[in-house]
Amino acid sequence: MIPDDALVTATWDDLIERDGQALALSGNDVSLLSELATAAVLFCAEGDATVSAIAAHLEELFGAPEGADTSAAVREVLTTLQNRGVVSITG
Amino acid sequence: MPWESGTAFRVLIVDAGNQGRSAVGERLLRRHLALNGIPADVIRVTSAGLNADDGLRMDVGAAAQVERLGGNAHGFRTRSVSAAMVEAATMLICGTWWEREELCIRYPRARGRAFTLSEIAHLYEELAVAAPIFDHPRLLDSRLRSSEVPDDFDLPPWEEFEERIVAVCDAIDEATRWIAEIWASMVPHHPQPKADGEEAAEPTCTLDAFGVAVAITCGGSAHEALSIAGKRAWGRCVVEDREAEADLTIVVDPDPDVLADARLTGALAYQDVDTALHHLSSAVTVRAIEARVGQLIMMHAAGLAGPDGSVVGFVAPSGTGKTTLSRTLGAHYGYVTDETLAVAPDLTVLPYAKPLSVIDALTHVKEQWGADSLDLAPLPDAPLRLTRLVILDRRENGPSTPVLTRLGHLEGIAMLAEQLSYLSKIPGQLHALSDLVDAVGGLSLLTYRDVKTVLPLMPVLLAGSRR
Repeated sequence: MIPDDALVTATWDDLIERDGQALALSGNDVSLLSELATAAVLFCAEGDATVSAIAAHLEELFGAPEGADTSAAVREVLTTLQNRGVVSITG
Repeated sequence: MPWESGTAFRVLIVDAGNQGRSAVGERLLRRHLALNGIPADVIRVTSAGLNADDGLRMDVGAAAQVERLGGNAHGFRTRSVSAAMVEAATMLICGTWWEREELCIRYPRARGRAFTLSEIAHLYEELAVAAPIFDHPRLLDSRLRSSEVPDDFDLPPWEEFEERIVAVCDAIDEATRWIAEIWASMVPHHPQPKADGEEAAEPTCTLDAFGVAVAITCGGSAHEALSIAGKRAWGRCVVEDREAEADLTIVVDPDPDVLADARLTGALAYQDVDTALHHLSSAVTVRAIEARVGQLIMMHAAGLAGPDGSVVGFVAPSGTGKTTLSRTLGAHYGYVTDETLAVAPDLTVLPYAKPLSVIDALTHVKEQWGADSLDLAPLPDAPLRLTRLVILDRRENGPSTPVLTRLGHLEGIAMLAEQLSYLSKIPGQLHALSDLVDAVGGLSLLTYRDVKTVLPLMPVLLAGSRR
């Protein structure tokens, strides 16, 4: 499991944002990001952020997910972003 | 040179133990690439196993099969797959679907680049792709998501073990031979050193592909037949007195030894003119794309022009209706291209009136037909400018009247990006695409069943962003 203090770094090559959503280019792969994923990625782009800081930021913007743990939901989003080459997670 | 010298297309073949299928695949694919004159620094083939012990020899039976099929089994040692190997690979080839799934579960970054060998062979047969090989994993994955191809070869049951081994190795040999032949026409240009005193042959003709002059030299005992057929098919692209930016040599000869020698010099070589013309089309396209990487936006799209030079681009993967659409609409509107639409940052369109690949109704063989032979309309006497981009969505059960649906900006760009060559090399990358899409008034999805019903829509489409 990704620890709370793992550091998340934005690794995309280019990103365009419109109406809260974003499109990220990593290598030759293009990923269409949800509003939640966009907010997470933009937060990391301001400077490396820990998983817990990202979770707090997203909870502030979108509220806590109903019937689910915020931290677990954020880890799932970050894992998907990592698999698409949009962010890297260390620690 | 746009292609980064030293950047090989890296193929990693994966199975469970790296002593059977993947080892055989590695050695046979290397053999067929070499027979096609493709150096190891252009396409690098290695293998590994999901559960392999490092440093073991190839299975004795597998090694015997490699030797039987003309390959070299010497010096092979097993390797266990690692994240670094997967990350470095451009394309991952697995023995079976469960090995592919296991690989993607362990290394999610493999998804979108991992296929079984059977899938790749079938997808290439369906796609008739004409794009640089670095684009192939994305194009094959896109096609795989919308089609059903066998994920394994048709093999005897396990009870017939010996027959099964022979059959699987024959299938690997056939598939790797086929893949190597396809890649030969689409690998980055790799000129071979000329022998001392050897002079370059005079080109047979020069072709223009979206502004890139490609010199073609025909060789072999059938060079005259190839030259005549080639000039007929490529009539609208033939140019005089242009300095070539790229070149290729293509040889047609019935003698396998002549073909083998020609391939070792970097030439494309085939036994008959029809096959040569088919691969020539891909080769010219790829040479031209390589020459304009980072300068033009080059998309898999057909283009048709109105009388004032307005061009509608119809974006779609290979094998999904662009050629049929070009042929039908091209009877009335200027034929720009049926495969690669090249657009400059100021929206200027550079034409590429290549031959159209048409399946003969009787023989079911694909033939290359020139735009003049198909009586397609010439280009207007006006500068060509992109005014509309449409993504094609042809469906067997589609609407009898075509439906044009406006796509969301990001959603549309995501779909367009799948059909671009070298997106990461375009200055401005996604921002450049976003500007292009805005400049043509957004992207639309055109859902239709019969291309004839699209014809009445053309005036609306050509009006484009002017409306």
